[in-house]
Amino acid sequence: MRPPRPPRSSALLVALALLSGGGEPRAQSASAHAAALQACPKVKEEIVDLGMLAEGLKQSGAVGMIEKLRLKSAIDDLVGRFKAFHRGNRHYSLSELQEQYDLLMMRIAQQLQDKDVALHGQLCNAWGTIWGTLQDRGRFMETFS
Amino acid sequence: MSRPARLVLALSAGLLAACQTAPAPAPTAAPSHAEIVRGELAQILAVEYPACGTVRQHSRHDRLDYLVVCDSGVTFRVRVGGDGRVLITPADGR
Repeated sequence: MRPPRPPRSSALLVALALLSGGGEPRAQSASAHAAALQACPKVKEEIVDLGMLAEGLKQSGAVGMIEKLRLKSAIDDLVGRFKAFHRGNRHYSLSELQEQYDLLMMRIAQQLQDKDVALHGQLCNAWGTIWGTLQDRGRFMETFS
Repeated sequence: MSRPARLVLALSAGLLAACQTAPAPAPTAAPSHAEIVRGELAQILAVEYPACGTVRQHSRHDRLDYLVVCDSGVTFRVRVGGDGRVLITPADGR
């Protein structure tokens, strides 16, 4: 179904917002960010790294086979970019890699949120933990080498 | 040349050809960060709004909060809620 087209006044506001954003993140405001991921459901078992998340996805009935393969490939690509970063390749900055990580997690979360509530809850709780491992060179090398 | 000899020659040539290593594929340029972001946003939007197609423009207003303009001109807010759910709403809030 085609979504409603915003009225002109909204379109103007949107254009102004896009111009002011300019495609770059604004300074991270603690209060604005506080809303996201602050009410993750409690889970029995925690996920602590991307490997566990990939395994959970593999076992989940919520995601079709083709999408599983696409997500696995996207996870592998992201890990490859982090490997390159930690080996000194600065094609992407750490903040860019964080954004790429967040978007991939959003993509996975969206696949799970209505179909596999348990795994979605685990992902929500693990969002920060996994990022902590990816961005720390020592922990990353320990996990992925 | 006798027929068996020709057969052996042909088989040898085939084996030699198979043993040759294929030329390494030309390295493909890594996508830019902006290309990756647009691609991921398009994938996220495609689940609920397949008509969005490619993402024309986007701006990030917080770590997990985007305003996205589809190629069709329709604009969406894409963000993550407190419970980790991905929320997509037309940008005018309807």
